[in-house]
Amino acid sequence: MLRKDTFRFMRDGTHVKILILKGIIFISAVIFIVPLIFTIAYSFIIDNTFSFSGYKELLFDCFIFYRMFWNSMMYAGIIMLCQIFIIILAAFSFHFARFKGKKILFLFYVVLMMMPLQVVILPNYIGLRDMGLLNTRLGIILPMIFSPFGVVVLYQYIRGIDVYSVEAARLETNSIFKILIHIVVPQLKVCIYAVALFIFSECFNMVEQPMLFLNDEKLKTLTTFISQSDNYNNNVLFPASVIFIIPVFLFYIFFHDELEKGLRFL
Amino acid sequence: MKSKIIPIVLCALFYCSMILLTLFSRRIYNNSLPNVKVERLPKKVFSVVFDYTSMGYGYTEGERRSMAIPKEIYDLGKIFIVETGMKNGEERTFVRLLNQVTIGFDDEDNYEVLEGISEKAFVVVNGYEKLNDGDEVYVIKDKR
Repeated sequence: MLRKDTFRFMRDGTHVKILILKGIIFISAVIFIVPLIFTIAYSFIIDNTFSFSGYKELLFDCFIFYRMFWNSMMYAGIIMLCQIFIIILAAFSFHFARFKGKKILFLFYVVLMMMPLQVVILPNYIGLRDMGLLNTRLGIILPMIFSPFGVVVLYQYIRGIDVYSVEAARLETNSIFKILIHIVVPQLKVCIYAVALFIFSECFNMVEQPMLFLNDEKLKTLTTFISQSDNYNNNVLFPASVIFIIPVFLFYIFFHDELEKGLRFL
Repeated sequence: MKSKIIPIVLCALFYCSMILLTLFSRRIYNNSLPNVKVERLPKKVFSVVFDYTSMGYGYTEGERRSMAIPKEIYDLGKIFIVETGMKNGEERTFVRLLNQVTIGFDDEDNYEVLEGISEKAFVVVNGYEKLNDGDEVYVIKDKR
């Protein structure tokens, strides 16, 4: 026996809209995840048969892979830690400090943030060449630790923190660093984790800077290993791509509770 | 903290595996390769006899200093020299089989090499029995 509200969902457009939206999200998710599934699947397929020989060759016959993997980890880790340190100080200063030209300086940061890499990479190259930092690790690390993206994001978040707690802390102490470390930073933890993930992912995935600024194979990263496929056996590329995904994935699952809270804000 | 146990375990497993593989994978791979000893062929003095009987002069004896190859290597037909080649972005050591080696006189243990092997070439003197042309090898370094 049909109830009166059986076909209510057809008259009420909201449910249909939600269904359509969910369909679009599902299709988008499938489009994004299919290449990943293919990469994982092809890493186990050699000459149309299921085989672990790709992984065996990569892990036991391609030793340059390990050097490039640890280079990528080192660059991403150092850049992330340095950037977080600088970002916190810069965002705190932008919100709490009063100085002339603050708004213009922040606008400058926003404009820099919106510039694509292709615009800034040549000035970076010229600057590094003149400083004698080409083909060095510092040549990769230094330009990346002063990225404006994290400053802008953290500044927007810091505007929403409890100002009264800062005011109360100023009654207790005059030390700005103590207020920053004990009052402000704990309130920014969620946003810091989200920004840290973006920074780590961006640095781990960078390919243009190692290819342009580094000549020495010992300094190059895993992205150059995957992009320079001519030098290596084809069997190792898909397994290398799978292993390449793992560090950022582990970072995400380690902090995913905090990241979801931070990403909701972003 | 309970929700972090699985990520911590996964991270620990992954990074410990990568560290162990970084430290030991080359040793494991080298142990799976044929281990060979290589040497430049030494020069030895061979007693030589030249037959001039057709010219009416009889036989002439003398001595000649030439490269010497052990008889067991030549008789087995496994004269390998080592060459370097690129594999997976690194220089590796491979062996090449020499088929056209001309020998001359011999002594108790060695044949005289007339042509086919360069003086600078490193010949496999140990571990050549199971090698094939083009195989990758691990050269055992003399600890002297």
